[in-house]
Amino acid sequence: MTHALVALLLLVTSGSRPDPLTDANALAIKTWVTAVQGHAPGRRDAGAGRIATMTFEQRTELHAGMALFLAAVQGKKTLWRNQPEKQILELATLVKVNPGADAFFKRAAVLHSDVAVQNRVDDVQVAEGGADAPPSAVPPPPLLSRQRHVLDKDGEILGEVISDWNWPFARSLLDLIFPKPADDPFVGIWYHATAAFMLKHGLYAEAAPHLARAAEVLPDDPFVLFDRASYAEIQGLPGIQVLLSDADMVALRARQRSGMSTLSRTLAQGAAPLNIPLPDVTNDEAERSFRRVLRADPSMVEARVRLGRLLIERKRYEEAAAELDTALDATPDSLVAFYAHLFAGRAAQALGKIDAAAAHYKEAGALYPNAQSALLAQSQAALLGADTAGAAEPIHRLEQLPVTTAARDDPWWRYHLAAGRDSDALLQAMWKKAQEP
Amino acid sequence: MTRRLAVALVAASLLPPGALLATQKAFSSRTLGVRVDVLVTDGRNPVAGLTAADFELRDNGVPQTIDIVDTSDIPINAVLALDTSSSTAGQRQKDLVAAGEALLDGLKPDDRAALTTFSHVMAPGIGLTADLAEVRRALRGIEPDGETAIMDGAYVALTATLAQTGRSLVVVCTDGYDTSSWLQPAEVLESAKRSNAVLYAVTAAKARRRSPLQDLTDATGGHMLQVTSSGDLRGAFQKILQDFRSRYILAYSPQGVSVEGFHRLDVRVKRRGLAVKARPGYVGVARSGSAR
Repeated sequence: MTHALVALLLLVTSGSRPDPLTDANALAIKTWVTAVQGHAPGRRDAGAGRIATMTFEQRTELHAGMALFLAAVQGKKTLWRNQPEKQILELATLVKVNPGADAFFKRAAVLHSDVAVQNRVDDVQVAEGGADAPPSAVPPPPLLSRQRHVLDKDGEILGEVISDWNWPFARSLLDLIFPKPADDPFVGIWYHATAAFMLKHGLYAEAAPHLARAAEVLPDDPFVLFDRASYAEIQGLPGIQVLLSDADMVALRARQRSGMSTLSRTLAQGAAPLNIPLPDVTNDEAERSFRRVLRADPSMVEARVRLGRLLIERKRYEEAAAELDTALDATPDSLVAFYAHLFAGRAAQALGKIDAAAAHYKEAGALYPNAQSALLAQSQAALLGADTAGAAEPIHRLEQLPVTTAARDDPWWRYHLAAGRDSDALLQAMWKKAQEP
Repeated sequence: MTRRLAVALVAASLLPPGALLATQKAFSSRTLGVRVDVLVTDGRNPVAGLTAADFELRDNGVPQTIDIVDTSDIPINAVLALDTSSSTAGQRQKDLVAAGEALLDGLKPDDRAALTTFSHVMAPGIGLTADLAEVRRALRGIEPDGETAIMDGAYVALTATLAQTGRSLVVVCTDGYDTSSWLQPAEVLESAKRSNAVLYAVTAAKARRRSPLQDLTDATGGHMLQVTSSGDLRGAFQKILQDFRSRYILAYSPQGVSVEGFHRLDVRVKRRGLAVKARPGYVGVARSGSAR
């Protein structure tokens, strides 16, 4: 069974109309349709504001009528039993004519992803109290989703946040595009832009199901493949791995021996699980995914550079050096070239080629003269070459720079963002595409 | 040992062990080779009054003839490397500053200090200086912000001790985990093996995972202290300085071993019941640029 069908069935069956719909349900649908129709992509308009302030109870009212409404928009045979249901079907008929089913689903998806974007930019609320939404094996209907995720910062767990229901609901709406979402180029643009936003803001718990669905909808899209590979790579970076305790690592190794690769450590009874894979497991997945990206589109140089870094992590230095040389031969832009030189330097250093390492670090430093990582790398290469004066010089340069993130302008600090670096531009492009007829 | 000999030996030993050997040819007439900073304890207390005859030192398994350098007149280079990521704001910051000042209070007029602070941004703001008031001012000006790059911070602190006269002590203090360093633990470890500094680390107790700082302290003959609250930092810093002043410096000209490569050190005390803490080895370099 396809995921789209499952989603539709979920919408329909979860609202299988055990009771006739009410005026409140009809009003909720009408209000929602008005918000969708009136929303300008990327804007904080009245419709977005209305969605952003919906309570769980209001979503429940909306959910009750949603299955009937969406089925009717899709042209499925539906019968009404009372006046509110008749009103919903009349509204669906209007939507089906203008703007049309697929256009409406896309507009609605954009509205909900915009609200999720605006919610995130505005604030992050740490959830308080007990588990009003205990982890469940059966996911709730997208509209009623209120799963909890762990919130961490700089290696420390701060608490939990309630996931944004707008993300799964937006995905479920795009799943309704006929005959299949993959046929509409907008869907790929939407998934790439929204995944980039999640990566930019560290919404990894929300990115996991998002990218999993993207992979089902668009299995061969190189950008979606790149985002999935980047996500797997990010899970192996120290910023994520430090959340695991030594005991967690032991437990994970034991689970790995029994064929399971992730640990769902529940922080407290009924609370959100901490899903972090072992570094070798996630690095393995990332390596395979980046290779798939390169098979789909060999010109994606950043995928090759990231593959090179992963190979260094996996101590395959010769392979890494070869990939990074190939990447540099493709004359990537300065940011990707910086990464390539930095990693090529590390690979050379590991192979005992200190002079080659120093040359790569110097090239990286030429691209970003104030980048702290390149200066530290230059210093360390000099020290390994027994050049103490050469080791001290880059540190003196660091001393002279203002102690701010902006002054150091270090691309290494943005490496974990992957496509998230371009999140703003990708969202703009997605919004522009959404406004096309 | 005469005072003159001691000074000559210390002057020679201030460079990284590898660099020392690198200059062996040019300065053979005054080279005494390698020095090893050693802490001897009886239980938790440092042991004083030992002589060279009390020690046994092997370099790559070969017994060496050693001298003990009188450390009382050798100035200390104390390099503070303090985590100033955003999690240290508030009381932790006050306690961290107080701890740093307590260590500065324990320095003598000829000693020098340096301050490196690190979040994800390195701030090697104050290089080694005898003007401790300047270091104090910088300490009081700490503004916590950002993420944590412990390995980068430890590396920058180690570089502050390169080619310096005196005995070098690096104190790395952090309340968190490394999330954003460029340098990897194995790389900083290699650098530590090329430094003569002794690195002490102070971290939060009940850490959920083993810190790479443990490897750095082991590699330099230092020690890792864990504190249960930031209020304990002051005492921890004072103990570090006290321990460091109680250490011995064993010096020798390597005999019967080749110069290059990693030298495994084995230091023992003949008296029973005493514990010895020393770096497990050093990297020898025959001439500049040959370590590959």
